[in-house]
Amino acid sequence: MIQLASLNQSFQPSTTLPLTAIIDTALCVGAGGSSGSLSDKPILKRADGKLIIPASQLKGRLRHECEKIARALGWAICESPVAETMCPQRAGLTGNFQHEHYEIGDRNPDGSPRHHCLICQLFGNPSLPARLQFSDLICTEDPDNTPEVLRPGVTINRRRRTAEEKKLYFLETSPANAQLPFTGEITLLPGTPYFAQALILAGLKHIHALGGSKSAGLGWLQWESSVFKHPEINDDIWEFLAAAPSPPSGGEP
Amino acid sequence: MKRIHLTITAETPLAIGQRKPGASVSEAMDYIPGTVIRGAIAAHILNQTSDSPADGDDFHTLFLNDNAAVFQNAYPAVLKLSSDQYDVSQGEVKVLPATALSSKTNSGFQPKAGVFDALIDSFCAREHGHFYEPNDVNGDRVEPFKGFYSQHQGSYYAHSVNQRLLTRVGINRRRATAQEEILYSIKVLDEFQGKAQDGTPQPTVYKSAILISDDNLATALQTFLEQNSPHFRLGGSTSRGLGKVHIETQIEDIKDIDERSNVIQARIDIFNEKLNERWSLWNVFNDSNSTKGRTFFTLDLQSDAILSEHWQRTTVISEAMLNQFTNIHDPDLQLHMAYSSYDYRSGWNAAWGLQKDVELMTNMGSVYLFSTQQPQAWYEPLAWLESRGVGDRVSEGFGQIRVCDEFHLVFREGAE
Repeated sequence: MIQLASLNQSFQPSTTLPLTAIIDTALCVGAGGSSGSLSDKPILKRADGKLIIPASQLKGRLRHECEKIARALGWAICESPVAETMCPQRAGLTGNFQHEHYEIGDRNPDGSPRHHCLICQLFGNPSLPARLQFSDLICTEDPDNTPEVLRPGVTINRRRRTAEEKKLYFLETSPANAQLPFTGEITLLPGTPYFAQALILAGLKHIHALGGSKSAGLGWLQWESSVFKHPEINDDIWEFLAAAPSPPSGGEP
Repeated sequence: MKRIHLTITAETPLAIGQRKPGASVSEAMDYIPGTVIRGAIAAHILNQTSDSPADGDDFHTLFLNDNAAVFQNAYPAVLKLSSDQYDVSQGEVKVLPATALSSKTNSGFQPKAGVFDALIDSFCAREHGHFYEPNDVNGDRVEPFKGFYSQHQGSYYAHSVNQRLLTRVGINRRRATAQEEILYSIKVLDEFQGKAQDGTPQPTVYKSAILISDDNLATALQTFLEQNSPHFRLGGSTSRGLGKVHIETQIEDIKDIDERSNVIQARIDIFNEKLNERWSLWNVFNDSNSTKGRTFFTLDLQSDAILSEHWQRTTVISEAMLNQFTNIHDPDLQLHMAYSSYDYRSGWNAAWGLQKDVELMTNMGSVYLFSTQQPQAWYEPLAWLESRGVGDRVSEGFGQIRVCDEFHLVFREGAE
């Protein structure tokens, strides 16, 4: 029985984790399919001209880091981003996947419990909506103060040690070393598993750079957020994450 | 009965996709369908509670009853007054009738060549036995002019939204390079429509409404929408940052049926007055009085409609169908003209976790011209039909109509 009046009285605002990324170097987030720039890889901007790091990149990158952490702790995690190797397809396989910790409280049409790995419970998969909502990280600096910076690059021919033919390229980046702040947020929807915040914060700590050409020194950042200072995560949650169910002998991990 | 007006301001791009049967490209719609708003609100209510819907509860009344709430489409409401001046339309945003025409080479409302309506003229020409091929007052060729419009300080403005293409790629976790077959592009509606003179960007604003017969439930829903406004996401890819909106609500009483039927009668009277004036002009070719004793009215589709007759899909509202919709019997009712076309529409039902059936639907803007000898019998049923809609899935915003749209009174000489 769903009554709106009682829902309104018991209203609890969703948990929101504010995030700010301070870019220490220049940032290069390519806008695929863009035109109107002299560079080979234009930078991504919002419709009003502000620089952004798209939510899809933050979500994908954070998912990858959380997968790494959970797998290292011994949890069985499905293989994103290909739908064929993600949870719904893994559900029938043997191993430690069909474990009570992976039950999401919902049932299949045949009455059996549905299982999804810890990561899919947060980030979703083709059969399970995500419980986390990401927003773009938007540069708070006025677009007039972030002029287009073109960074030329060239590949060196290893034998002649001169410029390789047809390998001169131009990247568009944000101004270098300008300490540009990019702000956004992650919203935890009602019903998000209780271990979400712990895993997210741990995953964010592993993200040191975003965008392209990270190994060439672009996109290196540091996070600023009040949630890092006082995370208020119970010890029970850390203990839960550390106590991954052991795989049965002979089963796949 | 209450109407909750929704003013939806986009904070991020909206991915309102439509994929036609057999097509591999996902296009973006230029408005937010009522079914998307309805689905988002229903999902949000279900997320807030662990209870299941039951017969007679608020969820059932809002979404599942025969007389469920009507969620109308949200149409773009930003007016472009000049190249760097914008405003949000205070008036109603309407759909141009399929009979609206404008110059082929310089189409648009004034100061361009102007837009006019050809319904009455084409009807008069046909009844006088003439072939009607319209042009504008300068003699230029004209073609249909579609879209949304509103009136602001006496002038007409067309409404549209800019779109752009976002390209995204999945990353292969082992090679850290682009994953095969996960490169994709999403057509989205821009969150800003340009910059004003002082440099401030104009956010994209849409206007919609929810019609609810239960007054207490309407108030409770308005409170729910206001409390949860920051967390609504509309369209696709919502967890990846798209579809974030801010919703403002305003509630009003819908006039009772007597008042509404008076409004309909006034509109029909003006329409017939102009039609008779025009008819007398066409009488210079041959004196005809075939309109005598008959009262004409139009039905203008303000949203796509799903119509069926004898269990078969159709794009025309016939006399029998209109009699059935209004539950009255008028043997004198006559359909004179029908301007309509069709399209296909599908969608995703989150509750089922399945794709919706592909429906053949009649395009918004379609126009049907009827006449009757018993107009008094029709005012009230037409007023009821205007607030409810015609055809299937009216609660999702399909089949919204307007009786005798005022734009039919804009003639070729006075193109707006």
